[in-house]
Amino acid sequence: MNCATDISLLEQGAVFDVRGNSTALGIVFELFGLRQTRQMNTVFESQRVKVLVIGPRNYLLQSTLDNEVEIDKTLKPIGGNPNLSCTNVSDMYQGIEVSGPQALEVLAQATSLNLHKFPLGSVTATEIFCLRGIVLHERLDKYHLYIDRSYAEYVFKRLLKCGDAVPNSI
Amino acid sequence: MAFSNRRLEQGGLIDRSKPISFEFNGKRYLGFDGDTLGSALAANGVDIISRSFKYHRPRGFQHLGSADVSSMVQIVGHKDRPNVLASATALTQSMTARSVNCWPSVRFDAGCALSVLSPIVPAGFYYKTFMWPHWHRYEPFIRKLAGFGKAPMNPSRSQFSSRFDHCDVLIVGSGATGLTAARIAARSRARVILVEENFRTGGGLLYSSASIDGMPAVDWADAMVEELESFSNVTVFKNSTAWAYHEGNMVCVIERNVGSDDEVIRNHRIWAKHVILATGAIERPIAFVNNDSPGVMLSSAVSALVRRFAVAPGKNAVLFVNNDQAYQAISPLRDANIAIAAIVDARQHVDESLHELAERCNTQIIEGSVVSKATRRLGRVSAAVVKKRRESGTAKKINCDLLVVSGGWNPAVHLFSQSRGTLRYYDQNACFVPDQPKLQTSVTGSLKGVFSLQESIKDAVAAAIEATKAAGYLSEIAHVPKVTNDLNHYRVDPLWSVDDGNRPSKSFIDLAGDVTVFDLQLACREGFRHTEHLKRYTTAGMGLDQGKTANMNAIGYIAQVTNAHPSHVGTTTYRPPYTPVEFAAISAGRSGRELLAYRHTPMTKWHMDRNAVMQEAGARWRRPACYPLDGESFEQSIRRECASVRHKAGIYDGSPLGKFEITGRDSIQLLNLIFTSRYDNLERKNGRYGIMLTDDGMIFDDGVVFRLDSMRFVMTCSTGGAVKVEQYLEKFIHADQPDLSVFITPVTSQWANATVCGPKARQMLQAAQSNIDFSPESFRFMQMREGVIADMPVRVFRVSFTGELSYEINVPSRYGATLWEYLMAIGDQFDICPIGSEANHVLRVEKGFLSLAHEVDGTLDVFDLGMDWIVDMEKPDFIGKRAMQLRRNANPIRSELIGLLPLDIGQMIEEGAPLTKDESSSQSEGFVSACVWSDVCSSTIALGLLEHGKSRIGQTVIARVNEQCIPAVVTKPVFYDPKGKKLRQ
Repeated sequence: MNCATDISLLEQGAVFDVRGNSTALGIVFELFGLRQTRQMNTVFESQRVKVLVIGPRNYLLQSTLDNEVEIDKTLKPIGGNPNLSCTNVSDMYQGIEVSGPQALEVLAQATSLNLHKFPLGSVTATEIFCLRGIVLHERLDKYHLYIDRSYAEYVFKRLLKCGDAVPNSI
Repeated sequence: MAFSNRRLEQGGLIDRSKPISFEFNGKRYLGFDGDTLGSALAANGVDIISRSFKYHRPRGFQHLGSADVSSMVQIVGHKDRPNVLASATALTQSMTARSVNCWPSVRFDAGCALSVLSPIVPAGFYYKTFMWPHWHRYEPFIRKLAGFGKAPMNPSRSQFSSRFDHCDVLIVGSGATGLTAARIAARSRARVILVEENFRTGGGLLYSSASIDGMPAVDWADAMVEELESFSNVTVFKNSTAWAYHEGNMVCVIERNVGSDDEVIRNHRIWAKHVILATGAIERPIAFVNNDSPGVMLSSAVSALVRRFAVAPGKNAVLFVNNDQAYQAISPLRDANIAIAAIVDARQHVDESLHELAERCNTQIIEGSVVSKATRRLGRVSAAVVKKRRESGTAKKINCDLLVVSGGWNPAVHLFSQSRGTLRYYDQNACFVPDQPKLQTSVTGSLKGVFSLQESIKDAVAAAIEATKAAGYLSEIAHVPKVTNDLNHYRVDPLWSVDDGNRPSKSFIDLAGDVTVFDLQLACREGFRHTEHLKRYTTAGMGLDQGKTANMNAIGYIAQVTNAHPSHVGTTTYRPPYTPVEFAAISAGRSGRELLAYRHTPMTKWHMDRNAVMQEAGARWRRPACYPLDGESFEQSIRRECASVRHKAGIYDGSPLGKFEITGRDSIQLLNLIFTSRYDNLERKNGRYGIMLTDDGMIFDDGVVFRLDSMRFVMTCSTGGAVKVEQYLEKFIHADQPDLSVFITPVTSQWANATVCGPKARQMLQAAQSNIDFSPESFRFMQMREGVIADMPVRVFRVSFTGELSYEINVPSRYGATLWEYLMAIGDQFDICPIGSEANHVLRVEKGFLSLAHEVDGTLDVFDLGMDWIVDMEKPDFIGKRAMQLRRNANPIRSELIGLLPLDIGQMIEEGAPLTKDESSSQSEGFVSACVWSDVCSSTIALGLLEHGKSRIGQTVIARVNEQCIPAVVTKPVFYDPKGKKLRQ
């Protein structure tokens, strides 16, 4: 790559797709010592999990893979709640990290998201190379993309190519 | 090396300290930094740049920028690129170009013989000539003679990319209005993008004699750009053309630097809160005989050549005009010491001040007159034939080597029109101008029909304040730059074409497509009146410039001959692209395997390492079609794989199968509504096959639902249908039935699936390290179990698509490859064989199982497929129920699924072959949906859909493949294990 951007595959983590009404979601957050937020496209976290608010009633609980079993066990007792859905989707997503001063330039080729108005700690479900995915602004100049694992190879290769095609101007 | 002979010794915006060597048609020339390829050629005395599209007439520099279709060339060498406009392309070191559409050379082109044949090839000639014996006999020759450049044979070495941008205010055009608007928007702190088609910003200011705020216009433009580039919230795209304006206020911009060594071509898709269009106006020509001759130039092009590029395009000029603005060319002509032999003005009376101006230039204005013809010598204009416009009389010939023409100005409404904004005809200026915008768009300057520079700038200030406010920013009190030395009035007397007596002469309306006035006359005589019809019949406005110069003249001319007002004739629809755009830029340089995203399962690498033949399987998945061994043909491989499943054990990668987890209080209600079968009585760990119908009662998709828990289900659907099923379900629960408390989580990629099938499948799994009891008593058909295999958590479903004992083993994707290899290892002692989708297809045809891709064509319901058993009509409702009932009652003739056995047992029948009653009948009564060779049947077998098929079992029908008639006996659509004992064993 001819730009100062690192593009790398993230190690697999534990991810749980949580959907439900606000009361039911409140129960989930209580289990993890979190205060529920209704603010869309934000990330908040406790010691155990990070929560990505990707829809009004759709959250992703994220942690390291070591915690997968424990989170599963924590969620089990509320599995029968008729107003709640908790599904282990740890194998659904492949994370890709794009970081460096030119990260925005690389991502501008991949997603139509307005990255100028995507502050630190924002998350959103969007399209990445016209494929469904999630973009998380992890740190300054560092973004995490989550895409369907089956597309991982394709997206990763294209990101690398985008990294090659980032001149400042022409 | 040829040397410049028309370059002025001083002036211009070129850098004489940076000479650039380039090659054109095999000859080397010199230009300077700041030149376009076109201006450099003009400076070197190259008059003929290209040959025209149809008649191969010599063409030269005539216009400015992207409207100058006459300057089309092919860039050759390692940056091979066709259809490049020389006058819009920055000259770069070692650029190599050649003329297009000519042989053997651009000066002596054999194709110009077509000019002689022109009476037999008028507009629409290919609709009525060359009909015998067949048009296609002539087509290759005509195609060879016509056309432009050649597509490069080698892959481009240019770097193509595509990117998304966002801004608050997007300004298209960097003339006086664009720059003024950009500065106001920039100072409001809005995020601003300024787009300029040229490699230098400034637009018409680059050759204007006006002063702004006490500075020469070009210096003012440079100062403005410098200020703009100092803002961190402003991006200036030069060399970039806004080529499309779509809904959502999204403008596509192509940014390029053609010909340079590090050539980059990048397509930007820019979303703007507000768009200011400052695209200016395009000067229009006037049609007269030989108006396409080299040496005939528009007044703005002449001004630009002299002022910007320091080129004297001739020595002795005649001006042929119909408007005041054209007189601005006088000053540059004087600067270049070009004599003005006469000014032919089509207007009856010209302002006294213009007469005075002419006198100062030692010339005269010939009022109420027109140039009826340009005569040529040595490939260039040599004289103008002048006659009275509205009276007959003798014509006068005035010698000249430069004929400067101006027919007025057409606002560049293309982008505005693309955004679905409406246009209106502005009588005073005889042009179409933007009327009502449909998107968040402002128009300003000459695009709006304001041709005074001072008024344009005032208008831009107002537009910018409005735009920044609309984008949510406050602009400061704006200073309106003061313009001096500008012609402040614009009066025009429309003149589209000089009457040439309805003869088939070379009086061109559209230079891009070689459309003449005679062609338009002919089309009108033949009854074409609507502008859209005329456009298509004559191809006026359909050339490379998309009617930039031709459209208004064509509309005006049609209005004139049909005695209609131009507003009633109307404009044609402006469509993207504004200028040609490379497909590679749109696709961001993707090609081959990269063009489409293909999905991989965790086992894909294993398949490919075993030389599996991969093929598309829907929803972007690629699956193994078969695994041929060394020396084995595809057919042999498929037969071997089928035999393994029927007699031993096979394994296939079923990961792409669509999978969803459905949970929530109303999940049963949802399933009962979307499937024809019933799910409220489905027991835990049991599954049921189901069919989904569309609202109109036709088959939509199929799948199996297993109950994991009281309110938790896992549902599968077809591989290709997974995306549409998900969208359908989401719409259903959010829009159609929002009161349902159901959650649908797609989990297709969460689970890898290895399906073990065949009579030895159970034995094999019993040999695996697992806590699941695979005995037939414990684990029955259509049941599921959760447990572990070799320490991997699994969900095993006992369903079958092959007709054999079968276990679908689902495992989290991270274990997919490990599970597969483990199963292959323990399956070794059972002669397990990996099977591909082709063998799967054979096995399912033998069993008569449904394949959505083959048997379902959008016209069938479940009864047609003989699947009455799957419909629970006792259920209160399910989607498609009523529509299905109504259709069945209304139309007794139904196509029904049947089997077919060709009388010749080895005869294959093409899928899709129509079925007829007998050889004499030509009425199709159905078609063959699938046909395979079956080893277990020792025959070719087929499935098909036939009218009243169920009642025709035992009859012989004819399958027709081209001229061949293949007799086949109609059977039940099950060829193997009709009672399903094997899969239930």
